[in-house]
Amino acid sequence: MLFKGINNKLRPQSLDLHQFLSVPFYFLSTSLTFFAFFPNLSQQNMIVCVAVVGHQNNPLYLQSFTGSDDALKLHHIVHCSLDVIDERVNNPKRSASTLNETFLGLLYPTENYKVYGYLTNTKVKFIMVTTDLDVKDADVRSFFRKFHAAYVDAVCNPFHVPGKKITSNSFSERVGAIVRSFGPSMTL
Amino acid sequence: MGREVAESCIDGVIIEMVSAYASRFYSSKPDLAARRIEAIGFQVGHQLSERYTMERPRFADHLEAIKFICKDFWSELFKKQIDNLKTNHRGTFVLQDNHFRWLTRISLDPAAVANNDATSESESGADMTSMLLYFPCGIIRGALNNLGISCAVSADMTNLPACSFVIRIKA
Repeated sequence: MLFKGINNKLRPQSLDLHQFLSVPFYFLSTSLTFFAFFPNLSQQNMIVCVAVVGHQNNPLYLQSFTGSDDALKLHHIVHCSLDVIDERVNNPKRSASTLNETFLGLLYPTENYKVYGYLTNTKVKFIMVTTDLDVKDADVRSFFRKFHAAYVDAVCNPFHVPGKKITSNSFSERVGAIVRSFGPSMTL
Repeated sequence: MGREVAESCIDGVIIEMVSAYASRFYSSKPDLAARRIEAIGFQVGHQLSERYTMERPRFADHLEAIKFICKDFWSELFKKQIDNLKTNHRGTFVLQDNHFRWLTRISLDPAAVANNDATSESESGADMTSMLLYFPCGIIRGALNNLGISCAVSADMTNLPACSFVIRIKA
């Protein structure tokens, strides 16, 4: 009924204000429900969230790349994966490399998440959660390398207080660009 | 992101920072000035150690971390390595640099040194040099702290272009 009203009016001044504002919301709600019911239409290699955790397991940065209503669930996933990292670090397997710990962490029982971890020399942990079935090891390693470079640049900011959360906008943008370019086409 | 700065700028900034803290900000409280300079060095060392440990495997024990400081960290900062490393295997390390880069520009006024009457001037020369050395002590402490080793660092300058840093690891 709203649509008929809009189409019949050629001049925008003739619309009521609330009708005018509700048109884009109407479109937005339909598109959101569309994506919610068909999640496979999204990109194949999709990173759901990345997190940086300090050496006392304090969260320094958490960024999710899906809809905002599952932020709490992502926090929980990241928190659980910290335990797995601690286990790996305290029982060192002499055959494994000591720096790049890319592991298939928690395969979350209901929803097919893969959690990868990376531990720097300064005991800072990077966590990456992805909903992907087939991720190559090299892709994840190069993702973490770029992410480490962005993290180092953010920490070297003289206004950043070590131990507090990272609040730099340029860091968020760089992380967003790295996440968007994650996929089988990465050559670095 | 590799922008470069002339080395004389670094020398100038450090000398001016030390003299600002020692003679302008906290001129009546030299130990407070020393603590502030060391705290600045701490944060700088913290951030530098993040950057310079990026591509390397983790250190297995304290000795490897100290060796990293002596070799890679020092050569990134001062383009040379530490000349001599001594340890007593009980948590104390002495790092000796025979030609410390930031001290090469320091000249103690020879007239004041030779003159026994003006003891205050020669003392202030030595004090100013020791103020200058708090900054690299802070850098070493910040770098080791970021690698998980908490320690206390002090400097010792008996003959001038050479100086040694004593690291005491807190058990």
